Amino acid sequence: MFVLKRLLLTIPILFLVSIMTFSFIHMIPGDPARVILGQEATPEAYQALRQELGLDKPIAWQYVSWVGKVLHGDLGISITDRVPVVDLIAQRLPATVELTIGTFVFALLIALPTGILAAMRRNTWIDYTSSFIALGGMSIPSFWLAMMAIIYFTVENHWLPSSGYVPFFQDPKQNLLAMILPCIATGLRESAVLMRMLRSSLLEVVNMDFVRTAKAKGLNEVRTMLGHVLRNALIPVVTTSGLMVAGLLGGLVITESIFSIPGFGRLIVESVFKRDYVTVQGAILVSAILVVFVNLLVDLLYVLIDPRMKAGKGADS
Amino acid sequence: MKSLKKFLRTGLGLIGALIILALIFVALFANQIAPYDPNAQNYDQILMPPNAEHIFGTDDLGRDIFSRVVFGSQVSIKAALISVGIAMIIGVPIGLFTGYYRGFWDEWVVMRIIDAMQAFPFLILALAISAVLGSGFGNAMLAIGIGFAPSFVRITRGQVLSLRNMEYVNAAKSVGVKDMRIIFRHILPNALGPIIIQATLAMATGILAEASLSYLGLGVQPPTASWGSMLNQAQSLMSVAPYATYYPGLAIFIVVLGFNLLGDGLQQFLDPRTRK
Amino acid sequence: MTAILEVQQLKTRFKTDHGKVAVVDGVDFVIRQGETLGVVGESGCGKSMTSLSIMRLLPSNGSPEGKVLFEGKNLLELTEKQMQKIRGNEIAMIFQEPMTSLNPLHTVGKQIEEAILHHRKISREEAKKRAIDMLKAVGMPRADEIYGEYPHQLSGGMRQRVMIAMAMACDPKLIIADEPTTALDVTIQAQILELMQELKEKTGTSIMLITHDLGVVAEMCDRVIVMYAGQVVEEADVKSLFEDPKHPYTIGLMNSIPDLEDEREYLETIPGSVPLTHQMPKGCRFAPRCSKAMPVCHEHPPELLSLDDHKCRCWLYVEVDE
Repeated sequence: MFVLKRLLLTIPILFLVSIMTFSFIHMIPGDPARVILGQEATPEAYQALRQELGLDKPIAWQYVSWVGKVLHGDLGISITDRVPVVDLIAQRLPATVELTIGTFVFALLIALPTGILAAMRRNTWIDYTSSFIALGGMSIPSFWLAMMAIIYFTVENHWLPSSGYVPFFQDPKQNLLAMILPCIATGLRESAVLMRMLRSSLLEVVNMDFVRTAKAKGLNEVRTMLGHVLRNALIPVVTTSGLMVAGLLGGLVITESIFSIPGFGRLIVESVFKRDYVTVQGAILVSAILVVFVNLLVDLLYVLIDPRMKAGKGADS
Repeated sequence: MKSLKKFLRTGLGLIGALIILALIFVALFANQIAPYDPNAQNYDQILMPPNAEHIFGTDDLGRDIFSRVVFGSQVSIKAALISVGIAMIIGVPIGLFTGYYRGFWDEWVVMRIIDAMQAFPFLILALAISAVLGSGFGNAMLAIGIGFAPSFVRITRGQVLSLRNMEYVNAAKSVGVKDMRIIFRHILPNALGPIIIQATLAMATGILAEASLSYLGLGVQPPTASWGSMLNQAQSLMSVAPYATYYPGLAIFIVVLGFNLLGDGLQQFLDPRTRK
Repeated sequence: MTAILEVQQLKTRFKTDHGKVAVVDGVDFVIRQGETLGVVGESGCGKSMTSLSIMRLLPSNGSPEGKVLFEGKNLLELTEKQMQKIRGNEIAMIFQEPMTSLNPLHTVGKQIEEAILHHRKISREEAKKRAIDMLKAVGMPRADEIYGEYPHQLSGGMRQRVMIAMAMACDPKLIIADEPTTALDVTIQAQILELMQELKEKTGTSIMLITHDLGVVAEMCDRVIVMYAGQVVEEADVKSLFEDPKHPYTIGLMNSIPDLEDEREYLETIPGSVPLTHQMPKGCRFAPRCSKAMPVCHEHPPELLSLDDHKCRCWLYVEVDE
């Protein structure tokens, strides 16, 4: 029941996402074709582009035909590169997916132990210090952190490469080495956010009755924490970390630019500067769809974590 | 011990407030504080490391980095105020009305639009908007403001939902007070706390977002000094003049930390659950 | 009969915004082997805090002083590790809220098993068998299936049976039941009480039964202590308490029980409420609410006096020479 409802709810969201993405080209002030080509373009080129973008047809017809193409996996042809946008994105996606996973792993490695420790030692100096550091972590601009890392690890000490991305299957070692700094630069902020969330969620669960029951059984603090508190506290954290994916994809735009990783985010930046609006449009659509599906996945994961969801009852019973 | 801990919790917020006050002060008196014209180029003094004359050094055009950092504070403070201002002007009224009237529009139009908007990664949305509108500070602000608006709709709406059935609201309704008056006189003032917290935290993100866009070259355009664009220019010189990257980034970090500390402090103060 | 638990001058203090306040203030009582001791009083009188002090499960800002002798060992002096060997093993607890006292993410079987595996060196299969046996013992139909079910699939009464099964799983010598039936429907209450009585007779466990319901006391207990504002105000065996209540507070509690054969037009109530711990009256703590209060009551706190088969903390029973 919950699963079905959740699946149905994605339909209006996807519909609205498609409308917003479609309107993107039409938000360009004036005539999009003129803006894209510039004033010097020949009338023939101008007419050809108008036709390619479908700008000569009524707007509703344009939308329907655009959605039709998108459903068939056609995001249009890049204006500058003259190759299908889908191919461009498919080329760039693996690096971004790898970065996303690496960043999350790094963030979890930091956030889980510190979050648990801060909650177990709440209102002690450990708690205050880690909470303060977390706020600091949330405040560091990731691109500046990236630069500082490059200066220290690459320019001054030559410990780690700051560029030279190669696909994983081509040279795993080189690939992983090149991923370390980017993952740390993006992941620090995410780990701070996760840690704060985990801490407050743990503190909420710690006061619940069943935790007292666990202690009354004779369980020690660690077993109570890991066996009873943590899993309950992770439920809201998992949901929110799904929402974090959107922020993360945005952050990667910058990280990829600094570390010259040929990823999805860098494609967007490049296309923005090349005024390749068709590629930008395709890329933002893909990013939104990615976010929608990750969140769908996370919500469905709920059913696995929380037995109450299977029965279709809310988490409140 | 108790009071020390209490101070640590709320005292951090105070430090945040002091940082913001310092930022305002620097921005207001930039002309007096900065020793040089931030845009004055001096080809005799290119890429000088920090020294007695230029305490933060000079950049590749011989401009004084300290003066540029000082003037950059003006951009940051404008970015915080304008982006969050735009977001609040759009978000708060929508949140108020949809939360108060509920129904079809709330459930199936506004909230779904919000869902869809939040599906776009914030920075990518801002990037795309400034791509179509053209780069520049104003467009960047508009892009960031629109990107923030959904979170203000959500927080305001959430507050209204919990307040709309309060006894004093029902009492006001029962004596025939008009909806508008109830919304603005009875509900809004009580919903303000969480909105202000959200605004403070959004200012932190707003400064980061402006710096990010400027860093990418889409926000503030040269020669205006902004911390983000300074980092953009310093990046290619990282191996010869690393110091040029230190101070603008440090400035962003401290100011964003200030807003985060203040927002966090306010939250501790206003949320009875965390106040113990 | 030998005493299994002896509480001597238990004083539990909490650090609060009003400074340190004592929520349990000099409590003494004894629970003998195989006996059920009722602990009665309004909410906020320190009943639950007494039980949590015995188990050393107080919130972090609370600390107990005095002696809690369990089989001669002072529990308050044990290390946390030693205490963990006693909790759930020798002293088990049943809580008031069966709806929230079970972990929603684990099957009930696993939760019972956890207690067994923690204290007994037995295999998983044996523990599972024991858990199912316990579910049968608490009168669960389809115990094998219930073993694999989650708390939300069970009713409140069934969940409380699970809690009892969990508490009994390691054959504890003492069970502390904190308002075990308060959250349940009346018909279910009777069933649960009957079950506890039955299990007690079978195993010979002692029970400390905390309740505000004198009806439950009459049905279940051998002896009773009445608590008010963190102190014991009356102690007696159940028969003499009901036949001849001494303390005006006990009398007040009894008069406020509705009775079918009663011809009273109004149910009596005790005016006012339990004083806040940081604003205790300087004389008898009940004096401000007592209809029989004398000048001395407002001036000096009374001692707990021994009168025949009773103990009572009240100036009415003191011969004052004036």
